[in-house]
Amino acid sequence: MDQPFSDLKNISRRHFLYESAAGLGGVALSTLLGGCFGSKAKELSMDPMFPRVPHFPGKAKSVIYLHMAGAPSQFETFDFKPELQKLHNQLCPQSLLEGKKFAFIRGTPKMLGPQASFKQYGESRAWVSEHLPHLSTVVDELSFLHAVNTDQFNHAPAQLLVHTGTPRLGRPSIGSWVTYGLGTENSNLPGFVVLTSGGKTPDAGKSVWGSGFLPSVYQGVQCRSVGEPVLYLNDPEGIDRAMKKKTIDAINQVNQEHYKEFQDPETLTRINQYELAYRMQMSVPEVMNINTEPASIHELYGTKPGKASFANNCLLARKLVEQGVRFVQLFDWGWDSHGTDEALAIDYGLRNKCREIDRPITALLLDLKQRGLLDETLVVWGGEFGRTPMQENRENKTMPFLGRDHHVEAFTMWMAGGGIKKGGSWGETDEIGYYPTKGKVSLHDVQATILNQLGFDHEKLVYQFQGRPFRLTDVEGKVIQEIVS
Amino acid sequence: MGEVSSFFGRFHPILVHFPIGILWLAFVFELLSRTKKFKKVRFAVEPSLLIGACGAVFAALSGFLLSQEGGYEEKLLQNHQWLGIGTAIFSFLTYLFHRKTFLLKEKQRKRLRIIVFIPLMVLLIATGHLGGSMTHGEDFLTPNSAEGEELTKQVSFSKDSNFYKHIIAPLLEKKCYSCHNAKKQKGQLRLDEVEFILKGGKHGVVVKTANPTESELYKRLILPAEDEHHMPPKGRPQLTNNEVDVLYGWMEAGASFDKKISEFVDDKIVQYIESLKETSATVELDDTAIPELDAERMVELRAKGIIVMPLSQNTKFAKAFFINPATITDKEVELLTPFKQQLIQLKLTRTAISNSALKTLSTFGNLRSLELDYTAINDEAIDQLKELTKLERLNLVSTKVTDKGILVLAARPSLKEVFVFNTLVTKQAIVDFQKRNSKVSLDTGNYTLQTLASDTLVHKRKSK
Repeated sequence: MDQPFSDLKNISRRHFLYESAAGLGGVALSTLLGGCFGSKAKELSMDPMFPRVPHFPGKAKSVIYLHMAGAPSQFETFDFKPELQKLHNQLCPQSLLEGKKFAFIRGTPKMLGPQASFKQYGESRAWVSEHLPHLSTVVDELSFLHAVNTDQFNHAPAQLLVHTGTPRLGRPSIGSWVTYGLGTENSNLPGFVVLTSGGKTPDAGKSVWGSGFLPSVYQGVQCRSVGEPVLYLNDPEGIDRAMKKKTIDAINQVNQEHYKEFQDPETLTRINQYELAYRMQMSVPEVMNINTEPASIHELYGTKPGKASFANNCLLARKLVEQGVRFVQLFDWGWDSHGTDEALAIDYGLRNKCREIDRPITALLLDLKQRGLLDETLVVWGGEFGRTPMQENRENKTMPFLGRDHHVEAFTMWMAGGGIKKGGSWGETDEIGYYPTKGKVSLHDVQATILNQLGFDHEKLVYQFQGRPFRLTDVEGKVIQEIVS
Repeated sequence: MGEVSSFFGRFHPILVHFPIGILWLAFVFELLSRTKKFKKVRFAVEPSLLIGACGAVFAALSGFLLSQEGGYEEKLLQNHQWLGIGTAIFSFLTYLFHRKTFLLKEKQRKRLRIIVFIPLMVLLIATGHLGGSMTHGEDFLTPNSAEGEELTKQVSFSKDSNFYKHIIAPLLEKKCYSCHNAKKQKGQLRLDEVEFILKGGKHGVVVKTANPTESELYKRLILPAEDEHHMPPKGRPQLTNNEVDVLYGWMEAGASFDKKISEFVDDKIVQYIESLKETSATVELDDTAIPELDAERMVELRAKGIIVMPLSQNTKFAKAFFINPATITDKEVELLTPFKQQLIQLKLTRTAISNSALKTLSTFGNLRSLELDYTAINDEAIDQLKELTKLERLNLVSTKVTDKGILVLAARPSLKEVFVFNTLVTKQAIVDFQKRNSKVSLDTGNYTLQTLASDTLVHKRKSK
């Protein structure tokens, strides 16, 4: 390429089309602000995280999404199946296997009865297993979805479907859609924060909090759970804050010029990120520091400062939401209970995982509640699919531990707060928890419901890309009115 | 030919307004010509009448063609038609009369002209009113009273009430009656009476109880929205999925007009009935009397880190919060005063306000939710809240509020939720509060979880 013309490559067809639609701010503002800012809208629109107006008054302002990566077993948590116990160790009938694809089950597996005892709790009489003794005290705050259905039986595509609405790469995640739609109320912090625990990040990688084709300013910011939450926040030696500010201003000026010339929305992203990073130097150490929390709070959550844990992340989630962060995503890895080893066993590892989340999640709900935050914060819990009522028999052999394979037909999720019905339940499965018998919902329905609670008509929250409008729920999704209060 | 004529006929709603305007203008000219200043306007009366009369003829013609399509109430249509034709003829007569009056003497002419004009105006008003009644419904001018009736109708049913009368009929009324009623029968179908529902329309019966999926009343609802046979037509309020389920369930159960509500146990129907009860209980916020948000001022405030924004699209009600709460003092709160009527939610969390900020807020009469958590306010501030008669939600977490302040709140009927975690409020005050006012959920927080043996129990396989 000739050097002087190389910059022209920057104006791709996409940017050209994009600009034709009046630029990033224009798009967002015209659709979401309803033009209420008049002539000065253009000025304000330079900030892509500017708070925006939803379609209708939403009950929830923020979302905390608790994703149990690996997919927790519904049979040892919330879906009580006494009939399955009676079938324990019997061979699985062929009718359940014909025409089905499993990740690992081969041949004819045996049925595996629930490896936990259940009791009913609260006024809602919800069944909860003995593995979650603390959560069972707050079931009246939750609404269960017992028949969530998916069509993906491998972790990565299934996680992508949960968070981006499609099993393939390239679409924006739900947190990105929400920050694109609503902006953020705290310009000193990212609008979309991701925290992981359990030793691994989700199988689908960073795409589950990626921004896809949305401007990259809307992607999730992953904070470290141990040590410094964000690296290199401190000023390097010999450079003070004033100096830093000058540097950033200079860089941004150059970027502004560049933006004026090429109109690339990604330049706006870059400008915004420099400014945000500068502000985060002050705000992040404060909000991400759980040491300043009183002992009673640490006791409630069971947190130990300095150690990476799901409990710490729950406490951080509350602090972030309290500061106006729009979407907090928590991934906890280690729920893939195949029975291949002790950590991934229904009878050992799963019980430990349940213990690790039980107290923190309960604490999170109670803590949000006592601060008046629960009615404006939507808490979502779930995995990417369910687990089979059959015992896994990888390569048609007996496994060293009790395990269950991936199950797509029906699994359990729950939501709480943010205008969700208290003590609700929707959906039922058959006697062995294989198929939904009532109230089957898709992940698109779940997504539509989350957007609905934030004040969005999921069919109208769209982004023009490659010549057509795209949306999180693709061409599907129905708000699950049964769990909306 | 039929298509051409009906195409022309559909211009009727556009064409009618032209002669109405012109004929009125002629009348106004006639009146004006009697003043000294506008004497010369009298020359405009005659051509105006001619143009208006020609317009009236076209309007009447197109109206006649439109009426051939059918679907309107016969009696209203007849009246409108004859009055319309009368108007056209009479406007011509008036025009001719005006031409002739030039032969008369000045004084006689003036009196006669006005006498001829008045019946024409009466005709115009009457025709226009009937036309409006046909398209918008007869209750168009006085809709409020009708809506009030509907609300009371919705709530008053019990298990033993007639299912059709209380569930199906109101649903049809809401979404279908406007085109299928006594006044207007699109597709020759009426849905407002049992006998007409059974009779069906142009394409035969609409309810086939033996096969609900084949019933027109169901089939057309689930056609793709773009399909020209889809009902309700594009641009009209559509049925929700749940409403479609209810209609289906009703037909599946035999489309009975006699069954009781309790005889329908299908989940979707039960859920719909529940939702009816709920919606009739919640009153939507009415912002008609509220002035528009001042956009320029919102932009100004934004520069100071004060965000005022509408609650959602299509409402004038707003919420306010701050970018850097720690820098917000009583002075900044005063800047919100221009929005005192629109503000419904105000978040003062972690701001540096004092009690006197509440004095400013006492004029914010529409506030529903006020968040004062982590501020330096105390009981004195609570006294200032008296004027906020619509306040439902009050967050006082981590403030200096004491028992005294809380007990003042017990007398507030609008309150629903108060958060007093981490304040100086004692347990005794909570008990007293609940005695005086049990409707308010008073959250004192301080939740703890039991320490269980299982909290620390790590499940491990016993070593062999």
